[in-house]
Formats: sequence, structure tokens, C-alpha cells
Amino acid sequence: MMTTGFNLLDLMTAPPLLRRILRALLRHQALIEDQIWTEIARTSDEMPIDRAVMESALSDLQRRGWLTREVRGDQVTYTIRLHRGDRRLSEARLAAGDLIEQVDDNPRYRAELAELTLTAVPAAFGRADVLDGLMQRGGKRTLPRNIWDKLSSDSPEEDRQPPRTDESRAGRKTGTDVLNLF
Amino acid sequence: MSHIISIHSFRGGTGKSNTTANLAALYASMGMRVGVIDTDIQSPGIHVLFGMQEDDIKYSLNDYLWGKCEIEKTAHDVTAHVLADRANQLPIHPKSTIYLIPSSIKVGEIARVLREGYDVGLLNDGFQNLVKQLNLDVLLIDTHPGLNEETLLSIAISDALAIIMRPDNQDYQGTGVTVEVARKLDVPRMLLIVNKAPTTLKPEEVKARVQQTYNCEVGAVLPHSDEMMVLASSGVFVLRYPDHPITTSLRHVANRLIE
Repeated sequence: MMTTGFNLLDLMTAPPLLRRILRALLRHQALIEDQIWTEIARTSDEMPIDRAVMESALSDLQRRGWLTREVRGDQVTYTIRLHRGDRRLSEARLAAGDLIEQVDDNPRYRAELAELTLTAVPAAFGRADVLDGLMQRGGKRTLPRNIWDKLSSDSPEEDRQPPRTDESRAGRKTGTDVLNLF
Repeated sequence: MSHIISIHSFRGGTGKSNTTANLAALYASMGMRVGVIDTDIQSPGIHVLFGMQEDDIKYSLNDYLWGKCEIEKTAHDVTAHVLADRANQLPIHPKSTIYLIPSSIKVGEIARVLREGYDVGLLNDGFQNLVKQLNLDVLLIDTHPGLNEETLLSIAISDALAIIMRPDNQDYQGTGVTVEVARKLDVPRMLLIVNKAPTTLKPEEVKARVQQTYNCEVGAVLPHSDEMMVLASSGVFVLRYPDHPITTSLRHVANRLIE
């Protein structure tokens, strides 16, 4: 089925050869077929492929609507069609959630590394980090969306303010001022 | 050949921006042309390490993503600032240049990007055009923590990925997720950096345990450092302390990432 392009999750779940072609095109934006072949050959030490297989993969990508093919004279140029919309952001987050569940099922990460902390890291370090974590939660990283929206709705007012003068700037506390207190 | 390197961590506060700035300085000391792009649009900060203030930012990455300017216009040459700081001991190679592409630190603009999102394809075009137009040897991408579309893109297009973690329970699981994602995206080279390790831990033991757990090379175990804390992001550590053991470790990381 023809789609309007691929997103990064499509890339993650695509077969290895398709991934390699897409990665090459992401890096170079547009490539002719010979250049794609060179790139694929360069990165295929462990899994050499036939040129016919690559050509078939290019056709597959075209059918999916993830590539565009353009003929200019003797040359065929391919460009990627990366999905350009923020709608997929939420899908990316959902997929990240799925991955977390996968890793959560793997006891290695928890058991082996948790042991490292329990046996060797001083309690004081753990406490400091808990505080750090709390600050992060209350701070910029997870500021609720409605607060951001409120800040955003105030922004036109900020734009209407007269340009800052040296005098007005002098009245503001900067990060450097705060550091200088110490 | 140019290198695109992403510096990422699953959680915030791990030292991504500091590590990115230090790697930039080390590559500049080797004679390279370096670009540093702050894609942590929601909580930008790396400009501080290069001595930039809000008023110094003429065009930001936000302006490019909203179609107000070309990506090259957002590149600020910060080499002169680094050279002018007499406290810096590590010499920058005369042929080197460090460009910083900052994100906006205006609250309204941060809010807008959170509300509206942006075109991730345009971000990729921006990365590639920066490398070409500025003739960069290395482009360092300072990412937003966690996983979203733009961090996936940064990882997908990178030649190398440095994942920073702390020896802390809150970091372990997320680091595992990030390593798995990077493998699914076929990143050619991946290094873990364990940062802010308590000095009571044995670095070799930490390195071996982390390496075994994630089945991924550990580029460095960086101990908690009072010098780093006192510097408090007012400068770039490796420039101030070129002979410090942390600088030696970071130099090793810098070399491994471009091998």
C-alpha cells in the first residue's frame, strides 16, 4: 500500500537491508543507484549481498512509498521520504513504552546493575540523586503541558516589550551573577 | 570523511552537554572543524559552556525549523570566545573552528516548539547541510534526554553514538532501552560513558560490569570531580584542565568515536 513516507519507527522495524539503504539515504539525502550500491557494499562486511537483491529492495521501498525514484538522463536518483509531521511523535513515545516493557522483562538489567549500586554506592550518593530526581520532576523536563501553554500565551506580550537597554539589562540577575555569589 | 556523533542519555542531568562541549574542544585541539548542535530544544543549555548569552544568539535552531532562515545562519563561531578565555590551558589548533548551533532560550519559543512540534525531516536536512556548508570534520549532536522522534533521528543518522549513564538505579533500565534502540537503528559505533561515578567505586570494576551487562564498550568511567563541580559549566573542563585524568579519559573517548 502506498503511504506518505516512513518514520523512525518504520526504520527500526524494517528488514536489515532496507534499513541500510534508508540509513545511507538519510545521510546523503539523495543518491544514484551506483552510490547506494557502494554504500551497501561498504557496510555489508558480515552479510554480502547481490546487486539484484539490492535492486529488489529499492523496488520494495518504492512500493512502500518510502523512496522516490527520479530518472535524469542515464542516472536514476533516489531520495527518501521521511514522514514530516509531529503526529508521529506520540507513536514514537508509545513504541518507547513498549521497549521499556521488553527491557523490564529482562532481569539482567535490574539484577546485575542494581547489585552494583547496593554493594558499592554510599547511601549519601543515593540520597543526593533522589533530590536531583525530584528537582527534575518539578523542573523543566516534565513541566505540564498546560503550564507551557500558559507561558506560550504570554509570549506575545514579551515580544511587545521595548528592546532591552543596557540599563534594563543591568537590573537583571544573570547566571554569572548568581555564580559570583560564591 | 565527516563524522556525525550523537551524545545521548535516557535521563536528564547525566552530563550530556558538558561531555559534548568537552569533545568539541578536544576535536578542535586536534585541528578539526567542529559543529555542535543543541537539539535539546525543550531545555537548551550548551551555549552557556561556550560563554553565549541570550542576546548573543542571532538565529537559533528554532528559527531554522520554522523556516525563518537557512541552517548556516544559525551557526555561531565560538572559537574566538574560547581563545579569548585566558584561563584555558589547552591550545586550540589554528586551523580549527568551533561552530555552535544553539536552540532558543526564549520561553515563548520553547513553548511553541513543545506545542506545535516541528518537521523532523527538516532537522535531518539541517544536519546534512551543516556538514556540507561549513565543511565540518565532526558534527556533535547534543540530544534531548529520553526517546522521541528527533532523538531517534539523531541516533539513526549518526556514525557513532555516546550514551551517558550514571551508576544509579534510575539510569540502568533507560540505558538498556537506549542501547536496544541504537542496535535496532544499526548505529555503526556505540560507546557507553559512565559519568559522575563516586570515587569510592573502582573504575575498572564498574567498567567491566557495565560492559558485560549491556554488551557494549565502555569508553570511560568518569569519577565525580570537585574541579568539574566548581567550574559549574562556566567553561569547558578539558580546556581548563588539559592534564587531568578526566581529560585523558575524554580524549580516549574522542579518539574511539572517530576511529
